[in-house]
Amino acid sequence: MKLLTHNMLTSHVKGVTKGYPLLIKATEVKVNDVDFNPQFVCRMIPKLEWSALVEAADLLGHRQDLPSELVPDYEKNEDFLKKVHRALLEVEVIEGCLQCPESGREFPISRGIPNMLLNEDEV
Amino acid sequence: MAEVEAEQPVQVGVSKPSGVPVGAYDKKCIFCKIVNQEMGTELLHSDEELSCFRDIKPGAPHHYLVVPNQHVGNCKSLGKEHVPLVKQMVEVGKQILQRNSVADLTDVRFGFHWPPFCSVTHLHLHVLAPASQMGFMSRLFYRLNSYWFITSPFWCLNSLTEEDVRSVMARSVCAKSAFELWGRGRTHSELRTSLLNYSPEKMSPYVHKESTYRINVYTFNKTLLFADRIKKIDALEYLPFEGTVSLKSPQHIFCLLEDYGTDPNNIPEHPNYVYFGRWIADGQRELIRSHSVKSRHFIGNTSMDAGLSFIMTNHAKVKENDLVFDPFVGTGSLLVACSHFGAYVCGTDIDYNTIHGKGRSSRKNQKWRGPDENIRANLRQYGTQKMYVDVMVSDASKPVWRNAALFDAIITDPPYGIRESTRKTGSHKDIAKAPDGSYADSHVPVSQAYNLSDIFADLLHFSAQHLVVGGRLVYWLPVYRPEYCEEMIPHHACLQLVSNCEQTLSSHTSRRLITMEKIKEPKELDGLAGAPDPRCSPYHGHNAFREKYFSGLNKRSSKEDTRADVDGK
Repeated sequence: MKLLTHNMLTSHVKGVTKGYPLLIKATEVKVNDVDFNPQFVCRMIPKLEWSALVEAADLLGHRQDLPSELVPDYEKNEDFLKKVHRALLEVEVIEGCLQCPESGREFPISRGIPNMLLNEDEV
Repeated sequence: MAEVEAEQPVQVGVSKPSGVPVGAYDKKCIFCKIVNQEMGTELLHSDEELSCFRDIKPGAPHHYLVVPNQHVGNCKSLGKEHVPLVKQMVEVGKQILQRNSVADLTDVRFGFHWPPFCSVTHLHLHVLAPASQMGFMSRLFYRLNSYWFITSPFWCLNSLTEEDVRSVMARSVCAKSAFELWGRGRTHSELRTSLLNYSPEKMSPYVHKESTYRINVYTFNKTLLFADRIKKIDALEYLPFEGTVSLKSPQHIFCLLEDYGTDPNNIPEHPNYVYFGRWIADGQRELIRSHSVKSRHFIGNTSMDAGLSFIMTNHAKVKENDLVFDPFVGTGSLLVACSHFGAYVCGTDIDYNTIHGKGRSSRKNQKWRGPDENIRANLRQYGTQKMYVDVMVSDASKPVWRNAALFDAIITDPPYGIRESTRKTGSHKDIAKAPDGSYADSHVPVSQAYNLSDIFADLLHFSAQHLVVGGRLVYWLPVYRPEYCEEMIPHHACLQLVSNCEQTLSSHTSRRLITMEKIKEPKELDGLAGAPDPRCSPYHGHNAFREKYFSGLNKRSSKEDTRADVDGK
């Protein structure tokens, strides 16, 4: 699971009102090389919940001094975009789980794939 | 599309004189019966040769059919002797329009459907007016020179820039090649006249002394011998080519196109039509072969065919740096197509085994899936692994995405319950659970039936929430053809229907490729519109479509049989 996906996910456990962001509990994290594409990163930044991304990257040890506030004029700041690119697309949680911040329900991640299915009594 | 229906109320006061001699009468043909006053259909015009009546399913405010009284088959069976008849049919069509106070005869459309796209094999001329008020589907079916309204596989277009043509061809998997048309004619001598009339100024940039060129001969519905093709090229010597021929790397490629019709059992000696032009670009048909599921690393039982995947991608206007989502991702065929055009892709599926690439293989001679059979490996196979974002095990009925316009396109092929079952998590039963309330790690959530109508309502609701404004939803809707009407297409206040194309699956079923565009952000109220709509009723009940799909095979009564003949295209 990449942090771009994590940034877009929320808990859908029944009755939960504050299910965002999901807490990452990682036991295995991998960094894969992905071609840097500044246009895509620029397109994604306005869609991101910035603080959730920084927190998640920090937790996994890949914050790379990303600021807690989004910098202005990031479009031209290639150094900054490369860091965001790394956090969004290169850092991957391979094993671990995602935890709902309110209910504590855990969703396992195995072989890099989160399993977001709820059990029959939770829906 | 049925143009006639048997159960029509009898009209009184029909003006047709009785006893008009009807020569060739086919008692099975519905139009013969109408002309012969057996159906009670009102005839708007009737003379010794022709009759005219209203189309049962009008595609425009005025939509009439002009038919010869004698049974003449479809337009393929027309010969030279029919020219006056066809002219007369057009004349009658115009008269009918004028009589019905359609004054502007430039805003009308006349035409025949080319087999197999006609529903009744009695020759009939469609007369539609005003052309500007035709519905979307009608425009598709009655479009000039489209496959449904056509006499040739070649399509002449006007007022397009070369740039436009290149950008379309860079995406299209339907079009083969595009040319700048220099001349055309029914015979080679007509072509010659036409070419000699083409402006020399337009030719000169491509035929001057320093240029290199090559001429190809392309024939439709006929294969020519090499020597014959050379002869055809030599016969073009009247063209003012001053450059040198280069077969390997010419600057300009020219093409002589010959149309030998569309009937492989009846290939004429001479072409019906010939064209000559400068080649501009090829379409992307090669992708259909290079991305064929036959050679794909990871496939499933219902992996989408490569050609259709690319068509869906084009309908969704997927472009570079888009983020695309497929909520019923399966083996990721649609993501493969999207990533080819530079979009970042993600998907979810309820089936754990598919997402993890486990379980039984869908391939012949292979029992189990290999260790690296997954969607990421599919993208890797085509060199687009960098476009892979994530796939997850998740239930499309319970979206896991935060509420924001995240995706530029949602493109999917939901299960219809034929070859893949429709399931969502949940249970009607009381669940026996461990006393401490926890499940074992290996617990598999129980799934229950997921009604087709709910699948589509959920899909539209989800798309309205999570698409960017202007983003598109593209999906397949299964249809039981005898019951189909346009109102059955699920709708949502924030999504506008852009196109609706049919792919026939059997005589009584088809699926429709639905394209919708998000036009505004949903408000609280619009959320309610996502509730089951009575018009979705054909999709109510689990396996509703499945039951109909299989019903037609053996239970069809003789009455329905007759109907299917009229409906069946």
